[in-house]
Amino acid sequence: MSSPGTTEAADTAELRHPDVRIEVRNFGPVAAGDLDLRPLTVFVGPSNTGKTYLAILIYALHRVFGGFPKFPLPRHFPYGTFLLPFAIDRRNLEVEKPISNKALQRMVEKLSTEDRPFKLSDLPKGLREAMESSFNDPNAFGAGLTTELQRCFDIGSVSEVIRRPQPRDAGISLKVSDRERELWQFGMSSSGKETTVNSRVRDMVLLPGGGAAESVRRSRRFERLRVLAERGRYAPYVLLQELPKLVADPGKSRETFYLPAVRGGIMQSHRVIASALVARSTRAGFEDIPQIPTFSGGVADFMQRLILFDQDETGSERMAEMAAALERETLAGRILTIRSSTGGYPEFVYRAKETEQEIRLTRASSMVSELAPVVLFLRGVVSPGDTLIIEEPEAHLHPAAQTRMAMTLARLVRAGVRVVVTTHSDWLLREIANLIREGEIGKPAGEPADRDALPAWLSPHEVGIWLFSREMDAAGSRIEEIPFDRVEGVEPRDYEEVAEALYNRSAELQNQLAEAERNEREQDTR
Amino acid sequence: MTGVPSSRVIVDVERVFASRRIAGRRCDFVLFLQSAGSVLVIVPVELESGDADASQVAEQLQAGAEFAAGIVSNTPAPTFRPVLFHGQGLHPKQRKDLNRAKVRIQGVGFSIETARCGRPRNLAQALSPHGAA
Repeated sequence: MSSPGTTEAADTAELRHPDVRIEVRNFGPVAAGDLDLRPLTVFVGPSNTGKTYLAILIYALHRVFGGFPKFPLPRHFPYGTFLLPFAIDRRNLEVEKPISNKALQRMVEKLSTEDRPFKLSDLPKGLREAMESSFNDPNAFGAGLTTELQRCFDIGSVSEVIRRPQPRDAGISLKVSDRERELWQFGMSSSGKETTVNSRVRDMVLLPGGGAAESVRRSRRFERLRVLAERGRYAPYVLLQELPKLVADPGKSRETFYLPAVRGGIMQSHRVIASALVARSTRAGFEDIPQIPTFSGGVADFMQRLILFDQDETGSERMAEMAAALERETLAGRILTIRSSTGGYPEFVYRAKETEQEIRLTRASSMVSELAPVVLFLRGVVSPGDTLIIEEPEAHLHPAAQTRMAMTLARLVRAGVRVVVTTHSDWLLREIANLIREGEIGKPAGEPADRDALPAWLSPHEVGIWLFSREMDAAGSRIEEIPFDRVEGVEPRDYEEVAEALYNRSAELQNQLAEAERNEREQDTR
Repeated sequence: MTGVPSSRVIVDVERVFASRRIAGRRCDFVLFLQSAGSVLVIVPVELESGDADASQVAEQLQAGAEFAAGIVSNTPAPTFRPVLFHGQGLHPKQRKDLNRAKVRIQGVGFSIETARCGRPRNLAQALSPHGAA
């Protein structure tokens, strides 16, 4: 079998996400489970088994660790630390013993040497120790994750996401690897009152030798670091700020976006909600406001993106093509942005292709409200290299549209976006299985790369389907992988059981009706 | 056969047809059960490991039902429940075709019920309204 789209695979190789393994214990409804994040990760299973908990956890971890870079330090926060509800204490990054200028210059020499890979172990010892101590400090990343979990789940304390009955410790463990080689791991255990952190960073090549590192060595940032070192005007904090920017995924976008399950309703109401909150805030001091309403972090971030949506903001051309395809193939119309001159909040409208009439989302079909944010995010927000988490992408969609949504997910994967979805849709899973089969067949060698501008196929290893299930007597949910099977596809077994039970009930009722009619006929003839 | 009434007769149709030199399509087994309401329930069973073609399956179950009807010709109004056991799951299209393909016996068109091979209590669940809880 040939590997389809080899040209494109090469294009996206640069955007390859690191391998991420997440383990949880006593987290929400989940008793224990572990899973890998793949280019397309799908959570399936009955309601209340923890799918959304894990989706939100992934979102929170992404935000805290800045998209799982190979070098986990706070400067990777995609929005800047000022937008996060915590800040890394600079004191945690101070070194106990000053680093000598000589040690620093040795480091810069190693960095400057062509053809010599620069490793983490090439950093001055004091700096490495400061970094490791910061990584293991419960008041740094541990506190950051705790606060972010509180924000994302809209809870007052992490104890609210610990599986009951207490006392139990919730455990979250994250392992980041690159091509089977572990880079770093972070483990946090929380009783709700006390948090412990157990983390480590492996030695790794930060800057490869040879031509690949040349552009980094020629960069202004590198020159600045070199001058700072030569003049002896450095601080460990500055160094830790600058170094990862030089060596870890330079220029690559690693943002994460979360589309909540209630996005259709938010699309229809975000202007009213935002206006109401702002109007309310002006009454502070004049009126007793007992409690300010709060949203979960994912919903708040989603709303913020909508409110700040800039119609002129253009993302990747390829992503915009995907948005246009979704509009053309499924919506049969366009999603347009109108910025209000008074409130300033944008309004999104649907312009049907046939009538060219603009319809407010409050009057458009639920499918339009549901897909509008996906279109907008693809058009101007999400870039290759990012992670997009979509809760129930099938919501309010006709079965045919659900299968086309599966194609959109595959196209996102092909473009280098890491996708995480929760779903109950049989149609979506069936089409995902077909896209994997398509990936297995491959395309004839020598096919022009541009023949299909938006290819939609998946390789079996790119897809992780994780079943959340709960035994009747079990302490909580478990997570297991549903491996792709060429015949069975990727559906959970209980889907077919439901289909079978439904069918048999229909057959049985038809049989009873037929028998009742026969008995009536026989009685009439007697 | 957990959950199925213990008072039952199972006929290996293949063997019977071979011994009587009857040619043509036939199903694999026929079960004779007595339901909780003392009604005779006749269950022609077809086992399919691969793709199940609805019209072919209906033909095979029809042959089994006719054979059973011949045996119990004096019994008033027996209940027929033709069942297809499948090994690979069924596509919605196959279910639609199966739903249309009735087994006609004594002037009644019986719908074919289905059960997945290897599942615990599969037959009992398919026959649940007939004393097989």
